[in-house]
Amino acid sequence: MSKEGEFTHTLEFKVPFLNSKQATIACKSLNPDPILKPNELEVSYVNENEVLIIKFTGSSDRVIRVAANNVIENLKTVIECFEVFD
Amino acid sequence: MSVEIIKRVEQLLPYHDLKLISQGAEALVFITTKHPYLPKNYKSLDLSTDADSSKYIIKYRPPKPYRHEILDKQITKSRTASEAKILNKLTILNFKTPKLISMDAPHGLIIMEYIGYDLNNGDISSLKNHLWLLEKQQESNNYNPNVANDASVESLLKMVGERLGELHLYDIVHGDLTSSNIMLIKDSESETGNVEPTLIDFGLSSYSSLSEDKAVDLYVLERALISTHPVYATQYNEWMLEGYCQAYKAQKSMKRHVEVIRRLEGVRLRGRKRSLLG
Amino acid sequence: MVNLDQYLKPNQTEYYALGLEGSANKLGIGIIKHNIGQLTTLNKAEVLSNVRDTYITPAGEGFLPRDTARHHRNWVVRLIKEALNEAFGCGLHDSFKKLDCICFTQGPGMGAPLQSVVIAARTLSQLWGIPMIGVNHCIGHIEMGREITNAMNPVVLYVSGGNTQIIAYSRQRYRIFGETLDIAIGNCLDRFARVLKISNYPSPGYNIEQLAKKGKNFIELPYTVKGMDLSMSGILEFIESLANDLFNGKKNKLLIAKNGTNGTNEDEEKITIEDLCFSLQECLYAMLVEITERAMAHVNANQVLIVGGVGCNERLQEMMKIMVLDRNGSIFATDERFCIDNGIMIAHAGLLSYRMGDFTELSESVCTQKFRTDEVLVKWRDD
Repeated sequence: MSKEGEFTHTLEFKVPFLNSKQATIACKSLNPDPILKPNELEVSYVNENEVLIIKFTGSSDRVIRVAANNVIENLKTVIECFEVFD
Repeated sequence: MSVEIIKRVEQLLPYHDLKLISQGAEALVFITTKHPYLPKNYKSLDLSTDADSSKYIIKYRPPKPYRHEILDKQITKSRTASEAKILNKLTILNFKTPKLISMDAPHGLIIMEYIGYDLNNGDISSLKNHLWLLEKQQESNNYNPNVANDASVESLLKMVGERLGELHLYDIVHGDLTSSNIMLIKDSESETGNVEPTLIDFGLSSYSSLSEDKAVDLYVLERALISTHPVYATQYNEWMLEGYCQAYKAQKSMKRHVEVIRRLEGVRLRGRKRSLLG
Repeated sequence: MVNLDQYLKPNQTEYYALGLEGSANKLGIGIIKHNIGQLTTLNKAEVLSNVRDTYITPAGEGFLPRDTARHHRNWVVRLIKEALNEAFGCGLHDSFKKLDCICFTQGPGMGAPLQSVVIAARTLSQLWGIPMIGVNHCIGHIEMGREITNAMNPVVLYVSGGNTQIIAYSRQRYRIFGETLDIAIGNCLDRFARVLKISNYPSPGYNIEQLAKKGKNFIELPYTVKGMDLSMSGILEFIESLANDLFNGKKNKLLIAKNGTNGTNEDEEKITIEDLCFSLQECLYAMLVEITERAMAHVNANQVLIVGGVGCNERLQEMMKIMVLDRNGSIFATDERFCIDNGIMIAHAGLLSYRMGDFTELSESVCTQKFRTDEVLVKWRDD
């Protein structure tokens, strides 16, 4: 079992939205899905005003890359929803 | 029901008076009063039988027009022949089941002795009907007494498990266990009529010494109980498995029992895994 | 009878729901309308739109979760827009105001595709301020089938790429009486189509059906019914090896048709691909019809409803019809709009839940690959 201290790799995204409402919605849309390997990776979503901050900490750059990739894909869907329907 | 099918069986058995008592998925079951070859009014001298010697069961597997002719003939013939063989084998082994009287595999006919009785509501005494009757009665009686702690039901289900265990110890798997394929018979010796379960319907049975096949047998019964008696299935199944274990214990074959139960866990798990895809 | 209008808002006379389905390789979006009151033959649910896009892979290849998820992501917003337009006409910014809820497939299905669609559901639910309803995919099929065909209390044969189940209703649950012990029927057909390298368009099963129509020699395959359950992996293995022998020109006496009725005719005829497709269908569907008949006898039912993608197969429907008519029963099936995975069934089943006061919180909206049909409490029925 890895401990938190072993999460040596980190990555942070700051994604600006049009307004804080959109940032909040994006945060809540991404947040529920659990991390598949919690002993290798942690992801946190926080929004500060209109900015969504996503922090990845993990045991290797590979797990972070995979997770970040997936989050970006999901973000694209969220943003497309805003573009078309907001 | 389809008049044509009944006509066909009347043609195959012209000298029999036939009374249709059930139409299962695969076969029609008739009662007749005429033995296929013994003289009229012949009384069986075989005192070991509990059967009512004035009545016989005719089981008829009609052709299934929905399936390809070759497939249909093959299925009818092989299931009829295999059921007859297993009935015969079980009689030799002294395993309680209806005794085989005669069979005609290409035409899908089996004649065997009559077992069972009529329940209070007139239905035939299958385990399913018996349990349904009790379940209904207790529900209208405000769950008093509760089937889930009824000693007679408990001992019945345990006996079902024992029978099944004995069958498996002979390396025979049933292949189609449901509460409808278990008939209740009354013990002729006791006046109060102690009820005892008997496995019937061996059309999908086969010889197998594999724990896997026995586990699938248990799994099929477990699932049939869950779907047919949803409220009490867990308790029924627990009792049944206790009885099943008893049978192995009696034969000092606990090793084999452990192996079957281990396999059962695996089959259950596969069952759950299977719903991976929509 | 259950009151479906306990949660009616003031002045509300109808309900609208959007449904999103993406549990396998089809992305389906639908919008349904219910008028208040019981659903009856005089008060039917109304399909306002039902659009779908299928991820088609090249011949010989199956669809992988990641690629399928990518397909769904690319199309989901476009298809929602299309469905809204079709249902409510133009003026997107007002049309969603009519919607009461957003329904999505919560499972069972492939994880990545399910997840790619729920993201859109969560975003729109917050944006439009309406609740989400997580729907069991199988319940969607069953409820839509009942609504379209008016089958009141049928034995349901659910046959698709990922599922093969025989189901009947009892005490507020759709209970599974029989099912496959290994692979699903659609999976079996798809995999055989891959061996034959036939097109996945419009679907592998459809193309096998067309080939089977030209087959005439029946080859005996393993026939594996176990009570009301069945097993198909052995059959697949058997026919795959036959097909491989056929392709490689390997000698196999099973690949020579016995001409003439007594099988002694010297005229040898080679078994064809068409014959293999024909025999596979005959064998598999005979097993399905048999377990359906077993379930009917077991629960004393006389109606059969076929749902799921494989339910479109005409030969299966024909065989089932012969069996059901023999039992003086009736058969119900839907066409490919409703048989094949679609969004409208998710909208319909979700709306039934919504009308019973259920909804899914964001935190509970995680999709699950495993979600058994009998886990759902069917609140909207009490018969």
